[in-house]
Amino acid sequence: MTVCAITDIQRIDFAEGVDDSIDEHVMTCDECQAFLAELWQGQLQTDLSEPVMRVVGLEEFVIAVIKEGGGILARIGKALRVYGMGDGGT
Amino acid sequence: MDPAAANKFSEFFEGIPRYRVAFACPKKGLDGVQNYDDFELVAAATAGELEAFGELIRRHQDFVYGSVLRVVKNPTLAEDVSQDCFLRAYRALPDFRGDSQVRSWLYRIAHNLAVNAVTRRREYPTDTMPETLVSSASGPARSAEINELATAIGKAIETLPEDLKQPLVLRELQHMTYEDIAAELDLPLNTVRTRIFRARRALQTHMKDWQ
Repeated sequence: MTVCAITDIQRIDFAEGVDDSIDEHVMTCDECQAFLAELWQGQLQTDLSEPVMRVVGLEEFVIAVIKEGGGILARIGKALRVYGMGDGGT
Repeated sequence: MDPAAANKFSEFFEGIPRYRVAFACPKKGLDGVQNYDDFELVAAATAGELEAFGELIRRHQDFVYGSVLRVVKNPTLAEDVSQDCFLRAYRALPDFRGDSQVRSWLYRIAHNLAVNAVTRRREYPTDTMPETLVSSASGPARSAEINELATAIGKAIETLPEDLKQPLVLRELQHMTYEDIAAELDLPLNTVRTRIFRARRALQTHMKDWQ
């Protein structure tokens, strides 16, 4: 396992945008990322999970409808044959 | 609904898969996903437990946002890019092989999206948010605006917790070096830098309306 030689000062400079020289290193270094995660904790004022999960939920719903669309339509057709159209039907 | 009709209904819908919306984790109970490690969350989300992905977002959103903000330097854009990052991560879940940390994987996605956003902003500058705090007004109007801004900054500094306010004031208003501030406050140098960093970020958030 490689030991990270980047100092905290370099990491803070990187976080502040003062020094980008460790950009490539940070991309793969767990130690630097752990430091940055701690540094950036609490910065975000809103919870992103709600809007993201709304979109994800909608996508999943659409995918499910597309996949199961044929089956659902067949079942609706069967239901109409079995139970009829109801009072408003012809 | 009478029981016979209810039975017919459930027979009718039998076999139709439930949409992949899981509100509870069958393995560890309602709060279970919070006890999962990142790899378990990815596995659960890939298997269709959406709540697991929600937990993954909550766990890493500050990190993703921080990494994006560092590049795009605009809080509103950073939020949009961060949301996009998680959406792309969700769609790429089946491709995640687990040979790096989940955080590392998210970082790469976030970084690429942030760089793209900056490039796009350069190519289409009309999309940019105004980045200067003071507008192009001149004369008395400008001077009044600067006064108003100074008052707003003063108020924002007052709202900071004492441990962030002190080093920030020494640095920004008294122009002391990090080393001198560390000596003055009897704190390690890294702590001083971290606190000043956090104080600046907190101020940025307070001053959002001025952007």
